[in-house]
Order: sequence, then C-alpha cells, then structure tokens
Amino acid sequence: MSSLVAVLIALAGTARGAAQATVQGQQGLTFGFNIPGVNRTIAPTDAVNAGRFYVGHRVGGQVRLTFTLPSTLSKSNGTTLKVTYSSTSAAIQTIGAGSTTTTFNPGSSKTYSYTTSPDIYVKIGGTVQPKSNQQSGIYTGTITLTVAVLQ
Amino acid sequence: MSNFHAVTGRRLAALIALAIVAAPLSAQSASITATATVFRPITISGARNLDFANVFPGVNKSVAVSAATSGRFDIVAEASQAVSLTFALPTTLASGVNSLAIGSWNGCWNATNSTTGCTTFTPSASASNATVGGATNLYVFVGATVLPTAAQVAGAYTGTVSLTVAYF
Repeated sequence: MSSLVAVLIALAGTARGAAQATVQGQQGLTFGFNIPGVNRTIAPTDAVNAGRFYVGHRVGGQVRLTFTLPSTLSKSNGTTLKVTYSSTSAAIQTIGAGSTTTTFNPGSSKTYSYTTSPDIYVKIGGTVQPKSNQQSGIYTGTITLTVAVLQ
Repeated sequence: MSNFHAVTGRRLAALIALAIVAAPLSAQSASITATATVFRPITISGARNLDFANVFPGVNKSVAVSAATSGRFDIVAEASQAVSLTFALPTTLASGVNSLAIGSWNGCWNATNSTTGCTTFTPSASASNATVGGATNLYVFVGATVLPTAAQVAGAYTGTVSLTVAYF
C-alpha cells in the first residue's frame, strides 16, 4: 500500500511540475491627472492607461485568474485616494488573429480556457474618486494577478 | 489487517486523485502599479477692481491692462498646467436706471504679478487658454473701454466682471 501511495504522489508531483503558465506585469494602470471632486474611470480596453498582464499557457489548458486589488491608492505621507472597480473593470484579450476581448469583474476569480491562442492579455481598469478637498500629489498602489493552472 | 490496509489505501488514493483534480497544478503571480496624480484645487480671487475713474460725457475712456487701475484676478493652481479662462462680462455699467456702454475688453495673463511680457487675449464668454506658472501662480489682468454718450447722466456706474478658471 505504501508503495501505491508513493506512486500516486509521484504522479501528482510530475503532473504539477509539467503545467506552468507564464505571467508578466507589462503595463501599470494610469489614472493620469485628476481634479479634486471629479471621478475618473479608466476602461480595461484603454490601450494607453489600463493595466496589462500577459498570461501564457498551452491551448487546451485552463487557468483561474485572481486579482488582489487596492481599495485606495496612497501618497508617500499616507494620504489615501479611493479607487473602485465595476463588473466590467477587467478584460481578457486574446492575442493573435481574430483577437477577442471579454470583460469581467476583477473582484471575483475568473476561469479562462485557452481554446485558440496560447497568449492572452489580462487588463485592468478602475475608477478613482478624489474628494473635493483631496490633497494634491501622486498616489500609487499595487495590483497583483495570481494565475492558478487548473488544466 | 490486510482489509484495513486495502480500505485505507483506496481512501488515500481517492483523496490524492481528488487533490490532483481539484487543486491548481501550479500558480504564479505578477504585479503592476496603479498611479493617479491629483491636482491642487484652483483658488481664484478678485484682487483689484477695474476702475475707469472720472469719465466725461461724449469722451471714450480706456483702461489698459498695464494701467494701475486695470482689473486683476489672482489664481493659484497646479504648476505648469493649462487652464481655461471664461468670463461673464457686462455690456454696460449701471447707475440706477442709467447705463454706460462698454465698447471693448482686453486681457493679459502672466505667471508673475506684472503685465511685462504677459500674454494678451480678448476676454469673453468663450474660453481662452492660459498656463499656470511653475510657482503655481497665474495673474489675469483686465482692461476695457467705456463709451459715455454726450448726454451721459452723471453718477457712479458699476458692473460685475466674473472669471471662471478650469483645468482642461
């Protein structure tokens, strides 16, 4: 019996080792210049300002995409700027011929199956909501995309 | 004992198989930065009134932007940023029921409190563009010409000049 378990564990280890995806943060999410009291939304389809990750995996494979999103951006002095996301603030764009774009809610995990291309972009937008008395300056935050390989 | 081992072995195998199916085979992550720059709010104050002083019937009188009695607005905004200047201008000054026509307006903006080297423009309800100075200051000077008639009624005539400044 112990040898059977050892074989199964070895098989599991082999299977996991063979399935890797490639994830790269390629472009930051830029909200640009903002006026106090005026919200600004960046769509995930904004080629210049939306954040962009590259996620590569094999055709026929499947991944689960999970964002870790900041609810505020911060200045160096600790002052914060509210940032929100909607049900369409994230998008998956296939790379290559017949490229398609599908939006999704970055607040929930998204499962994606590679059917035609081994390469996709995962893009992220959002809305900053500066208060009418928002302190001027540069605010930053970190967005992390975790890709779990399911198949 | 062998039965116990067989059952336990099947359970273990099932658990491991389940783990292989349900658990991610691997996971990677990457991060990017989100950045926003917030401008300082625009503050604007009417710093000096436009004053035509004494005006005589039938004699037009102009106040140049460089005159000591030109109107002036002082603005503080984000350094080096473009802003629009939009005016609400009276066409006449009023003294009770009497009015005094205004023939034309002229303006000038500068990053310093001086009309030397300033950029001229024509104040109007249509936006004019200006650039805030590197020290966050912008000064807007306003002059005009009044057209008193030969029968202009004596009195003190006044009107209001409003300026709206916005980022664009």
